[in-house]
Amino acid sequence: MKGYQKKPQHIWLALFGIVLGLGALLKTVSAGEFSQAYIRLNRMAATTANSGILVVFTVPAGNSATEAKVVVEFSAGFTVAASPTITVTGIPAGATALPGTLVAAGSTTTLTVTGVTNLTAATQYAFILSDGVTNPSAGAHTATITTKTGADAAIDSKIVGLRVISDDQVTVSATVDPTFNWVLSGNSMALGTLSSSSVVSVASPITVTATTNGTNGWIGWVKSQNTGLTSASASNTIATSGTVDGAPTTLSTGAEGYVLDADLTTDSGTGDGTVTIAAEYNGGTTSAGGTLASTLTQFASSDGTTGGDVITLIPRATISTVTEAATDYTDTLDVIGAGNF
Amino acid sequence: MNHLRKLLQTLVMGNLSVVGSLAYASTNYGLRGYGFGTAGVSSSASSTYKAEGTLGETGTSTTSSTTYKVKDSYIGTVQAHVPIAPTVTNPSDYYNKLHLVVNVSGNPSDTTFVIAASADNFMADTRYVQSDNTLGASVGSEDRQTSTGWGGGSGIDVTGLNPSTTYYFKVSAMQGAFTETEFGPTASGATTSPQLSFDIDVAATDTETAPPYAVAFGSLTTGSVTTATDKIWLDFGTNAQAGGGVYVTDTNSGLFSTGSNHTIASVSTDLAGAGEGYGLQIASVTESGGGPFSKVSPYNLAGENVGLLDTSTRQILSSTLPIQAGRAGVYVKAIRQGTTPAASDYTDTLTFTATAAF
Repeated sequence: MKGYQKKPQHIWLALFGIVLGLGALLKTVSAGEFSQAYIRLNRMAATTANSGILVVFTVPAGNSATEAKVVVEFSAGFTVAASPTITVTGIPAGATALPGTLVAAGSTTTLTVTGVTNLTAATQYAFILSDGVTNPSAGAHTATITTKTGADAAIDSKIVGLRVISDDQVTVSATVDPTFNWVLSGNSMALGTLSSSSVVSVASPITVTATTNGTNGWIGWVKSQNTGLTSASASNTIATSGTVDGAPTTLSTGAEGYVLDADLTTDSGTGDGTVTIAAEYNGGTTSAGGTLASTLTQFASSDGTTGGDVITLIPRATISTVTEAATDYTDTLDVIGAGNF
Repeated sequence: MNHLRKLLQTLVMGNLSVVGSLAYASTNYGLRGYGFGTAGVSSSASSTYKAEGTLGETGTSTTSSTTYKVKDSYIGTVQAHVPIAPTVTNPSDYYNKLHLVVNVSGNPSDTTFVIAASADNFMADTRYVQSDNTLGASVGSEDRQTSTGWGGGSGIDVTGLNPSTTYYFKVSAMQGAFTETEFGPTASGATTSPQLSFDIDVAATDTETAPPYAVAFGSLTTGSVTTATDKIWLDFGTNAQAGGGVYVTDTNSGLFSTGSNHTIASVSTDLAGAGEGYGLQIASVTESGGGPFSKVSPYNLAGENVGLLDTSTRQILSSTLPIQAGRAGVYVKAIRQGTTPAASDYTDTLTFTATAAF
């Protein structure tokens, strides 16, 4: 009886030991899986080279292996250059740059990044391929991201879905029509009574406002019908002074004369144009102005767009002591503008 | 003594690959005889004894050598009901999991089940569903769960599976000591591949179109927002567990004219209050399942509000879950001012990409 009692105990212990041993053999460790992973192509068009593929993966919790490289195996049709450029600049906020002195090498469809230092569990890592990967033909594709030890043992991996399409771009077009506006503030200016002892200027000059989206701005011209102030009743003309020579003329008291001064009142801050008053008509003093011609002569211009440049036109005149008296001295100025596109 | 002998017999003649629970035994009580259908209640249990029976025995081969023989899957004197095949499905194009429902098969509620899994129909690969619903190489006590533990009638998702793989599952049951059954018949299901679908259309209405894709504003109006007649339509779908999104990258950061060397710059703003500007606004989002497909700020506003376009890759649409047939309509809007240089060659190129997080 005792012997029988002992024998079953030995068998029980032996069997128990065998079972424990088998259990230990069955508990093997296999490669893990990233908690999450994605690859963002920067171009999805077929047979197009990428210039910024983003690779992101999250190391699973409990990871305790020592990473030394990251391998991305693209599905058939992708081509990976021998020496792609890798960077961690521009990775998404919240992701950790793949650590280490990274070196990327390509072979057919495989990218291998070496120089990776050990990764931390439960951490999202990212890197960017700035070049070196060309898309295959349109369709469904995949890529497998794997971290490996220095001995090339797989640690964690994940297969991600990719898509290549025939065209990933939309072209947008638009037209901006040319516009130009030229507004005179009035159509008459009165010099009043002229004097032989002083230069008389128009008390209430008119302005001209130019507005345009011409990339080359606008140009203003003036033409005098009489090239002077003409009195029909006196049959006399107070002629314009000087010549059109690129410089203003200064009137002298006691001598007949007639000029036009152009002043820049507003160089609009809207737009990119800058106004220039033609030297001929840039009087500078209350006695000076430009010679009026019977042909269109430029008095001002702008070199770009404007939301409203304003030029003030000021006729000036003097007489001598023997200038025939009359109340009908007059001239007509044609003030012309054009947008320059 | 008799109990110890029974224990020894069970261990020697049973399946050594499965670790059973400790034997229930008493030194004071023994069941000298019992009958079925003659007396007692249906549970056939009391505080001092209980009887268990078996429905039958599955036929299997034996494993033997010159020195021993083991009757594989020998059914002891008592056993639970051998579970019929579980229900295995892939209801939503899962690429890394399958849905499984254990069939109780008439076993009592305290019956525990072990689920075996294989990717090659148990030729060389045999693993077991763990209590966390992943697969493992062995069965721990925590991996034997009741039907309730395995999700009851709703079942569980077996996770951590490989894509594009057929998995086979079978279940064994145990209810009390020495009652573990052989595994029942198998059922299988297949994971799909990780999937991402994306397409672009350009049309005034929700219509499929072919490339090249072009949106023409025509002539922009001073002081008034112009919305292009054609919308950009974006299709997006994925079975990625974390969904994904659609992104846009702009070439010129605005509408650029070579002739006038001027850019109508893109901005995130209400164009109605702007002198000059250009951008995108998501007009509509739909999906046939999953998702939802959502607009991302600042492309999600109304009126004449638009989101910025520049050389950075900016997300405009997202889904945090798998999504089927997501579709978005996108407005392109612009406004010019009086001094916007005249030109007929204002242009821009938008590059769209889609990503899914698996």
